[in-house]
Amino acid sequence: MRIALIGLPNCGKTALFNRLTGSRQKVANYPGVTVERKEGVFSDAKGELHQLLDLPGLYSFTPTTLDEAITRDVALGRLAGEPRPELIVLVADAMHLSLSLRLALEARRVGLPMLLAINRSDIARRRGFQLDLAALSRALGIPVIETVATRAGGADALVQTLEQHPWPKTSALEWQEPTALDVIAAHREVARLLTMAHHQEPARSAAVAAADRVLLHPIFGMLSLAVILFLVFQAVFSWASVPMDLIDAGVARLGELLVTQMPDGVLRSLLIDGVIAGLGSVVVFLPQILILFAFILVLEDSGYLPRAAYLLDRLMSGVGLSGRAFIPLLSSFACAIPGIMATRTIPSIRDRIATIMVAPLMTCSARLPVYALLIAAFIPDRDVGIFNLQGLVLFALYFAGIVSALLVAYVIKRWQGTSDQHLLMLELPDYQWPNPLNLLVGLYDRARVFLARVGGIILAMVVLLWFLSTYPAPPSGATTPAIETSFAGHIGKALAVVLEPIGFNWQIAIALVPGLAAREIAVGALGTVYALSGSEETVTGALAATISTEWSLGTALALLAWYVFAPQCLATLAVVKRETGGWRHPLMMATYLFTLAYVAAFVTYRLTLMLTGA
Amino acid sequence: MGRKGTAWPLYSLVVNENLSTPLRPLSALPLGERSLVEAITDSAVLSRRLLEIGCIEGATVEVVASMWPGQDPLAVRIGGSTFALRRQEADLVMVR
Repeated sequence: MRIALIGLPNCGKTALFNRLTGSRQKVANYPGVTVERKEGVFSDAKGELHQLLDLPGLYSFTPTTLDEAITRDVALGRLAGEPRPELIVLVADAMHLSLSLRLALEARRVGLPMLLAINRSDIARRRGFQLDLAALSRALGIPVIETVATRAGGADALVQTLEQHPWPKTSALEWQEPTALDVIAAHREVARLLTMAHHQEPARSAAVAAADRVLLHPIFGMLSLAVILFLVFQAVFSWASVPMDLIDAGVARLGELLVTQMPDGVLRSLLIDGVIAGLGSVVVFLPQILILFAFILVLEDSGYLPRAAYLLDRLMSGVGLSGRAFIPLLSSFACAIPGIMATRTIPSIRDRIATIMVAPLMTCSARLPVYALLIAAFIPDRDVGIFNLQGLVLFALYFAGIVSALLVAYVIKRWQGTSDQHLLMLELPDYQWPNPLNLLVGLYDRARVFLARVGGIILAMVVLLWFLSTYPAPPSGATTPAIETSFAGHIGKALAVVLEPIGFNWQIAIALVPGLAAREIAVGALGTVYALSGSEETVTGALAATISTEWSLGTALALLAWYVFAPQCLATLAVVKRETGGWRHPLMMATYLFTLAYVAAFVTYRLTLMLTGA
Repeated sequence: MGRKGTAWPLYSLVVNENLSTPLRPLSALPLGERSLVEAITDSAVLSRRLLEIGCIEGATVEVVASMWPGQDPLAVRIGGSTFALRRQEADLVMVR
């Protein structure tokens, strides 16, 4: 049977989905839009296989966001290429039953058979929740069961009901959007149903209200947010260093193994200089990405993220963004792609576009290797007061990204002219302990997506770059490095004409081209270009020494300034095209990023030349 | 009413006796004062969503937090849930 999970945001729907399907799920997109489509399978006691679709959370079938529109269209069988579900499992939150029940009354008009799962009933019962399930079931005319998605076996009652119940066929009701009066009438009906089913509302935890007095406070709330964000970034940089060193060492070992085990030749060069050095330099960022996402998942699961959006709404509305943009922008520190996909929860299309346009200005983890290389080579490792100069420069680069994002957003919003009605209207759910299963499933998803990218586009680009830098072979007796006469050498020298005014030489120009596939390849590419070989670790180490003698300080700082804007990321532009449904926005984005990068690098280069008297 | 914290019904059966208090927008409600919704000013999308999240006549509301400066946005308890509302949104809800 094809089953769809429908429910309010934060009702525990995804936890229930994970409980039922475990790792047997796949994440893709709905045709034509970037709303994540999560589907999984599970089998009941009779061994019958069910397909389960986790639809985006919604408050009503009158959508205000793209997410909500998708859920309505799937339920109504209106989404092209998506078969209509045969059964709706409406997930209600026992802690907040009334809004869920109102949604259930609306969902009933869709014309699909339905089952009501009252989730989180364990917590609710401990807080005095009472409900006569049988009475509610009779009144609604559908089965009503309780689930505890966070406990093993907590969905057994749901699976049993699925097997036993004779489900009617889908009826062909003509869907009509409920009017405002219908909405009010539905609220009254919910009140009547709940009274009839002897509903006793659970007491709200006093701790939640107490925590909110601090965490939503204009001063203490902002301070707490700053501390939390500081801890997140601290963790991303310090906790990740051990696993990153391990990956580095593993890659180096693999390279050495190949050197000793394989005869010298084209294949060995491809594997060591191309595949291992190239992919190794990217895979090494997996720990940082996972740590950042772990924090985002925990903050999301615990209910804190919407509060951060509340705290920052005022600040962000100053430049015309909604507080809701905070969540996508935070994700963009790991990678702009999931960040851009997360903008689908922003109701206003203009706010959404503005958020998408500035997302690449958040310093994504792919820029870190470039920053790390240049800072190690050019910025002296000394203390300034209690701070480390290298750390300060890194912080300044992140800060420059954020400030430019705010400025660009401001310009975009001014340019867009009159604004839409702003909807914040964001639910601040009660805090809860993050669910470990959700965390594991979420991290597994992220790791899979990242590694698929490494094995796909990044591998292809690395091999291509290796090919371009190796062929045609230099004429015999040539004294210059082989790369100068290769295809890549010619491309680099042609580009260098344009990049010379901002201080970039032809080696940098070559490295920027494969960086189109993934920014972090630039480091590996520079290594190849400077005709070094060996493991990634020795590449980075020796590369820092090489460039510190070959480049002027101006060139290095200009390249850092360029990377604050780092326009070259094809994957981001591709997602923007899919998300905005045309070439207009990706082209605009590429244009403004290139312009800003060029101007910033130019100014940085010229200023440094002036100040250093060169 | 529970012993730990407070549970509020979505609608109160108690008639608001204090009819002499003038109607005012939810955004003007002092922090921590509980009130009942009287009406929602019509504004297509916004008022529609306010109704859907339970902001209907007779619902209990309370402003639990507000940001500086200008008390925007507000964190509002509506029935059994908490929502962050921009001032502009809270302006549409009339309470006594």
